[in-house]
Amino acid sequence: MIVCTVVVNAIDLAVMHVQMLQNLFELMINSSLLLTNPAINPADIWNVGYSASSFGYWVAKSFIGNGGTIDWARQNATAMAYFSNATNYLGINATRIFGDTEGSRGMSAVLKNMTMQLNESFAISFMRSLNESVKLAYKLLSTVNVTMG
Amino acid sequence: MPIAPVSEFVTNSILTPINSIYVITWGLLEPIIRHLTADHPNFIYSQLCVLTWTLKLFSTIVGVTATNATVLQEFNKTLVTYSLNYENFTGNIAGTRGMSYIAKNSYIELNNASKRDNSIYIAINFTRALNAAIKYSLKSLEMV
Repeated sequence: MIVCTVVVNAIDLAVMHVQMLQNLFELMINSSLLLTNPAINPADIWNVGYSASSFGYWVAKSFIGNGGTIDWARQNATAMAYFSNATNYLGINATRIFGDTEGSRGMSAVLKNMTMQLNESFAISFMRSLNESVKLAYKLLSTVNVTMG
Repeated sequence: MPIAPVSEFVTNSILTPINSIYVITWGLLEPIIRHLTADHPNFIYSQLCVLTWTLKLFSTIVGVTATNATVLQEFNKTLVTYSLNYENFTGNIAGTRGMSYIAKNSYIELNNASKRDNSIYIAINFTRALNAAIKYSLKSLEMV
C-alpha cells in the first residue's frame, strides 16, 4: 500500500497560485498581442465576440433565467435542501475554510503566503497584461462606430 | 425536411446528457467526500498544478501564434471564416441560427410547463452536484 506522507501546506498552495496567476497574465499578454496585430481586422473580432456572447446569453438564461435550472431549484424542497446544505457547510466551517485576520488558516493563510511570494517578475507580468489589454480595448473601441454603423 | 423536432433533439441530446454529467459529478464526489484521507489537499493541489500548466501551454501556443507569420496567417484565416459565417456557427442574439438556436430551445424545453418533472429532476441533480463540488474543493482548505 502506498502511504502519502508529505501533505501540501499553505506555502505550497500559495506558490502554485502565484504561478497560476502569472500564467494567466502571460495568456492575456499573448492574446492581446495576437489580436492587436495589424493583420487582424477588428470587425472580425466584433463579429465573433457578438456571436459568442449571443450563445453565452442563451446558455446563461438556461441557468439563471426565469424558468431556468436555478428557478426550478428554488421551487423544489429537495433541491433547496442540497443548496442549504452547501451554505450551511460554508457557514459552520467559515473560519476553517476562509481563515482569520491572522492569516493562519484556510484561504487567508494561502493569500497571506501569496503576498510573500510576489516578486518583480510577477508585477511586470501584471502591469504588462494591463498595458496590452488597454491597447486591445483601444483598437476595438476606436473602430466600433465604423463596424456597427 | 427536419430529421427530428427540435424539442426532441434538445431533450435527448442536450438536457439528458447534461443531467447525466450532474449525476456522474455527485456520484463520484459524494463517496470521496465521505471517505476523505489526510492527503486530500495533495489531490486538489495536483489538479490545480495541471490547470496551471494547461494555462502555460495555452499561453505558449498563443504566444507562438502572435510571433510566427505562418501561424498568424492561419489564425487570421480561421478568424475571418468564423467572422463571415458567425450566424451559422454560434448564432445570433435572437437564437434563430447555429448554437444559439440549440441553446434557446434547450431553455424553452427547460421552461416547458408540461415537462415540469424533467426540469425539477435536472435542478435537483444540479444542486446536488454543486453541493458535492463545493465540499470536495473546500475540504482541502480546511485541512491546510
